[in-house]
Amino acid sequence: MVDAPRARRRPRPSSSFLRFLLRRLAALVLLAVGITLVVFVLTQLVPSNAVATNLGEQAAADPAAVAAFKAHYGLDKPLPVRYWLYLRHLLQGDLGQSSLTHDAVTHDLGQFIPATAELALYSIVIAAFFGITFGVIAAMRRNRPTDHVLRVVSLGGISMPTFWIALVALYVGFFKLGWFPGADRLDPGVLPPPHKSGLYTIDALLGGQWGLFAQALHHLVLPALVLAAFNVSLLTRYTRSAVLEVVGNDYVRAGRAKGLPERVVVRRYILRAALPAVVTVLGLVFANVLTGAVLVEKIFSWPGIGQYAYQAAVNLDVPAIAGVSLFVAVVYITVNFIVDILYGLIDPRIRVR
Amino acid sequence: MTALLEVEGLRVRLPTPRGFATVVDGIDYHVEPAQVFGVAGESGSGKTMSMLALLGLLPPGAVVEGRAAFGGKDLLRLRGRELRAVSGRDIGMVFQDPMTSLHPMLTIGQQLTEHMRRHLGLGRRAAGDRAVELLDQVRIPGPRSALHAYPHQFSGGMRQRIAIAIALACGPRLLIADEPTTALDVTVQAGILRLLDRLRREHDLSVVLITHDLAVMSSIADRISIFYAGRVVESGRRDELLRRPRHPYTRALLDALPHPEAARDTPLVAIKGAPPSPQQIPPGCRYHPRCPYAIEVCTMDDPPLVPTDGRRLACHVDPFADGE
Ligand SMILES: Nc1ncnc2c1ncn2[C@@H]1O[C@H](COP(=O)(O)OP(=O)(O)O)[C@@H](O)[C@H]1O
Ligand SMILES: [Mg+2]
Repeated sequence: MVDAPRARRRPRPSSSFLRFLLRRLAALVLLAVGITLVVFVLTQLVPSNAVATNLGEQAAADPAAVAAFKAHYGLDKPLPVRYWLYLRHLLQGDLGQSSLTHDAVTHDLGQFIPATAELALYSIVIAAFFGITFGVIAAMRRNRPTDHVLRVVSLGGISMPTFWIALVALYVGFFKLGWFPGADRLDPGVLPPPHKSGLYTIDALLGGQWGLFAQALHHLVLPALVLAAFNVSLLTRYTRSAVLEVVGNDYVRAGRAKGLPERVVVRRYILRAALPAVVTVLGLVFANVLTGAVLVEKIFSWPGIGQYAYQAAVNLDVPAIAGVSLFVAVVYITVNFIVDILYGLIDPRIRVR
Repeated sequence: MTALLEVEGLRVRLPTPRGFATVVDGIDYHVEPAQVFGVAGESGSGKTMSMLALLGLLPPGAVVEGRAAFGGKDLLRLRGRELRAVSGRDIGMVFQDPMTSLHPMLTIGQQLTEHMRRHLGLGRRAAGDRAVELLDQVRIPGPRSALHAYPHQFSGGMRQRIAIAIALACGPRLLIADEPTTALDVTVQAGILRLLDRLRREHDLSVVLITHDLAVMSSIADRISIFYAGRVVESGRRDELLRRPRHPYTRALLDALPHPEAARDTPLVAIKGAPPSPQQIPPGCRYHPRCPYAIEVCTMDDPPLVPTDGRRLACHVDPFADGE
């Protein structure tokens, strides 16, 4: 033999991946604990009278009720103990009571999250599909008319503020043309499908209610497109440059030299290599959609978590704000975790680190 | 013997911010069956581009002229499906840098079998078995487990041999190897050259071997062309060319080699100056600004490549004609 085998030990891919997964999972748990701490401290910082806002005037006048309330939430105890209590309540699914709805915050979240989840899901699917497709097309047609058009359009999509896009969409799609409903998840007076996932389109499909499915979809079109617009543009641009980084690589040339069909070269050689960058942006898109939802839900009267957060913030409903913050933070770190795992799945070199 | 590949008047122009640059400017050569044809020249002389042109692998916007007869077809006229039928099937290509020519996210097995399955119609199992055979042939230890490994798990020398295995997978008649040993240390290099030599003898494989290192050539090539600034300045049989170089540039390349018999402290004679960039090709002979033998005619007339004494030579002066 000529060349001493200098290959590193070859671990079975699955075992190295498992270790990678466990490391990330540990990081996830640590991060989650950190978030509860931050959220807890924030609730302590907000100057509001928890007793008054939570119990209402009558109960707040009753010393027994106040004492019971304080004991339940540990308001009479020192800060570390209160944090400990907060964590225990959290584990039992108790996020406190909204001072506005006088319902458990977890109950409220359960009410509002599905609407946002459905809107976000469609937006993200639209953004991912069109953004990646446009990005690849633009890169493969670099400096040709298709590329120029896509670049100009995506620049527009990035520069225009979402609220403006939302207002234009509402004005044109609803007022002018009347093609789409302008508010809510279903037409007025229509009963939602039996609750399974809380996503009306999915629940309607599960129940075989085609008309209801179509209606829910119809209601989703405008807000989902508006929420996707910025992100389609963002993804188009990032995908384009990620693909351009890759197309000139030797291994792409090597793929072509093997006589593989162009579509295989694009998918297996180019897109695959560009995917880590695209996945990073997808994580960003997820965050954008959640943030953008507050605005879009307001404009399209969409009964989601954004509306709930808005109301909570305006009314200084601390438990609700804390609940929403916790929810959003958990979504963020989960998305980050998934992105990390995807990196590992896509690029074997990452698992080694 | 009829040539396997016959290239005539190959010209490659690449788009640059300042217009087109002619990086290969009218090159002729032929490769015979079961022969190793060597292409040598300093880096930047158009070796890589002249090979990429054959399989339509040039950067976008490149313009190609000339003819490249291979198996009754002109490679330079092939497009799409026709070109893909030859690429990887009848002609295998090994790229210069083994660290970048394998896809980092695909397993060795995938990269070794995908074109076999397509070109040879092999099933997954059959392709896998043949892949193991190939890895064994290029001396990769533990070939079966190597199929599931990724490129980053191998050293440069092993990657280059894997790249060679990929290029040989479909049993091509011609292997184009672009500096397959440049990035490697000397012992690894010797191993790869021995492998190519063995394949040529055992499988009637023809090889176009590109290198800027004439020492590599001397051990394996049958015939050699010396490239300079997109042109061939001298070509012929290895022994003729290396024992009795006639072009001052060939001579200079040989003088720049470390000589095994020379005293250890003999300084290497590097060629003075640098090759011209494709945008600034001098008039007359392209080599004249660096040539110690240049006379007036060299600065004005471009010397044609003409048969001279059992080789082809492009030099007005031919200072070594009397075999000094
Ligand atoms: N993409 C490109 N665009 C324009 N010029 C290029 C490009 N790639 C290489 N060149 C030029 O083409 C010439 C020949 O390059 P190449 O064939 O790679 O030389 P070699 O392989 O002999 O080192 C060089 O002068 C190089 O600068
Ligand atoms: Mg080169």
